[in-house]
Amino acid sequence: MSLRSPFMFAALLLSALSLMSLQTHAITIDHDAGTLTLDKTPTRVVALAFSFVDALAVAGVSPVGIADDGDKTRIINSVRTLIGDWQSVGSRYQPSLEAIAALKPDLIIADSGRHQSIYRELSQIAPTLMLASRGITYHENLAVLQRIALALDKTAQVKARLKKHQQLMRALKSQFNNNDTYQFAIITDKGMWLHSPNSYAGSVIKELGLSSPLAKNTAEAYLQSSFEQLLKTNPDWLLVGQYTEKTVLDKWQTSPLWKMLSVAKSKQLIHVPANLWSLTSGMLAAEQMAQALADYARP
Amino acid sequence: MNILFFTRQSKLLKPALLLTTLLLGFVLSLYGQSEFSLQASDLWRLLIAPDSGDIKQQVIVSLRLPRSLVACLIGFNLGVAGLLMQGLTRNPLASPTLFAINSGAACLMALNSIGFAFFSGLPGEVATFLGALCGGLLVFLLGGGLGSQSNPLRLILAGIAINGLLTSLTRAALIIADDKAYSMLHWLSGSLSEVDWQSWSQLWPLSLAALLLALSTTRGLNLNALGEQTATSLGINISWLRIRVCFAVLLLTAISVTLAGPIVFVGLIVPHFARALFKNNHFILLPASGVLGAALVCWTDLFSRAIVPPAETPVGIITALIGTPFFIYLVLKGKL
Repeated sequence: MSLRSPFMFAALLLSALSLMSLQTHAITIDHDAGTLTLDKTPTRVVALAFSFVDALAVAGVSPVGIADDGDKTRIINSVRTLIGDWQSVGSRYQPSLEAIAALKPDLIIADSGRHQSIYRELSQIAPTLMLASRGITYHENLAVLQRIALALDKTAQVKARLKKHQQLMRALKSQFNNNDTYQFAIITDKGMWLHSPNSYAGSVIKELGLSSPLAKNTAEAYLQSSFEQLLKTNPDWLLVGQYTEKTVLDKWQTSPLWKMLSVAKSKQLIHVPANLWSLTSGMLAAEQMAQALADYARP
Repeated sequence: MNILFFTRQSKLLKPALLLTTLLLGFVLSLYGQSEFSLQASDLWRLLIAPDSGDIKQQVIVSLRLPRSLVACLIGFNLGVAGLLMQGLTRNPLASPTLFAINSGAACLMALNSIGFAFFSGLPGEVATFLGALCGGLLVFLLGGGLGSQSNPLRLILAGIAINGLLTSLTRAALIIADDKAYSMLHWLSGSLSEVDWQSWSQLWPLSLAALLLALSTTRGLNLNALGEQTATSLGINISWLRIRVCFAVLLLTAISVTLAGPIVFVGLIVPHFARALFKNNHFILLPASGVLGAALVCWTDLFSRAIVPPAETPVGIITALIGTPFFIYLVLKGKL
C-alpha cells in the first residue's frame, strides 16, 4: 500500500496533466506582428491568402473561410480536392470583416503584406497570425508553412509531408539535364512581367536547378519587360500566364524580330495557367509547377 | 543693315535651338539606353547599308523608330492641347487634365479590363478612346460649353466633379480586379513602352486633323486674349471658337492618352515656356508649344529608361516629377 500510493498519485497527476494539455494547447508563435499565443488548437481557420490555403491543405485542416475573390476556381485543383467546402470572405485585397466574424473563427491567417492595416480589427475577431504571402520565394514559403503547422499543432504531419515533397523535388530535379534557360512571365494587354528568381515561380524554377536568363544580380521579383528587353533576355523556354484574352504577345509575334527569339525557333513558348504560376504560392503549387516543367522538358 | 541682320539672326536662334534640342533627343532615343548596347554607328550603318538580318538594325527600325516618333507626336499634341486650353480660358492653370479626358480614358480602360458589361466586348483601345471623348464631352457640356458666355468657374467645377466620379469608378475596378491592378497601374502612370508602328499609324492621321483644326483657331485665340467682349466686337464668334478649340483639345489628348496612358503636366508646363520664349502670338506659340512638348516627352522617355535599367520607369512619372516643382515655382513667382 505504502509503495502503491506514490505511483497512484503520479499516475493521477500525469493523467490530469495530459487531460489539461488536450484543453490547453498554449503555444507561442513568432509572426510578422510580434508573438501570438494560442491557448487551444484552432479548428475554425480563416485564410486570407491562397498560399495559406495551400499550407492548410498540407496540414490536413480545412479552412472555414477563404478570401477567394468570390471565385472558388481561383484555388488550384490539387488544393481544392484536399479541403472541404468553405465560405468566401471577399477579396484578398479587401476581405469582409463581417463575413469573417460571422464564421466565428478561432484563427485568422492574414498576409502581412496586404492586411497590416486591418490587423487590429482582425485580432478583435480572433487570434490573427500575420505571415508573408505576396512576393515570397520558395524557401520563405516553406518556412511560413512550418509556422502554420506549429499553430495548428500539426508539426509532425507537415514534417512527414515535407520530406515527401523534398524527395519529389529531388527526383524531378534529376530529370533535367540541360543547360537551357527557363523564364516565367505574366502577359496582359498592357505588357509583360518577367518573374525573376526572387519571385515564387522563379524560385521554384531555380530550386529545380534550372538557370534563369536574367542577370545574376536581379533584385526585383517582377520586371516589366518591353519587347526589346525580351529579345535581350532571350530565354530558351518561355512559360507565359495570361491575365487577359488579348496580350502584347499577339502583337510581338507579328514583328519580324519575333523570329530572332530562341523560343520562336525551338517552339518552346508554353502557355501555362496563370492562377497556378502566379496567384498561388505554396508547396502543393510548387509540386504541380515542377511536375509540369518536367513534362514540358521531356523529349 | 548689320543691326537688321543680327535681329533676324536672334529671331531665328530660339527656333533653331528648340529644333536642335528635339532632333538631338530624337536621335539619342533611337539608340540610347539599349539592352543591345546600340551605338550611333549602328544608326549610321542602317542608313548606308540596311540589313534586315541584323538584330540591332531591326531593333532600331521595328521598336525604337516608332517609339521615338510616337513620343514626339504625343508630346507635340499635348503641348498644343495645353496651349489651346490656356488660350481659351485665359487661365494659366488650365490643362487638358481639367477636361476629365485622362480620367475618362482610365475609367473605361479599367472597366474594359475587368470585363464590365458591354465595355468588355470592345477592343481595349476603342474603349479607352471612347472614355477619353466621353469624359471630355461631359465636362464640356456640364461646364456650359455651348452657352453664349463662357463661365470658367463652372467649367472647373464640372471638371472636378466628373474627374472625381471617374477616378472613383477606376479605383473600384482596380480593387475588383486586384491581379490585373499592377499592369493597369503601369498604364495609368503613362508609358510608351508598348507603342509600335501600328500605334503610329493610328496616331498621325487623327493628330494631323486635330492640329489643322487647332491652327485654324489661332487668330481667334489671339483676339480672345484681349477679353471675350473685345474679341466679339472684333468679329469673333466666341461660341464657335470654343467648340472648335474644345474639339481639337479633345482629339489631341484622347488619341495620345489612348496610346500611351495619361502623360501629365506636359500640357500645363509647355505653354508657359513657349510664352516665355515667343511672347503671345498664338500663330507662333502653337508650333513652339508643339516642338517644346515633343522635345520634353522625347527626352523624358529617354531618361525614364535610364533610371533603373533594364526596367522602365513610366514616362508619366518623370513628367510629373518635373511638373510639380515647376508648378510650385509658378505659384511662388505669383504667376497664378
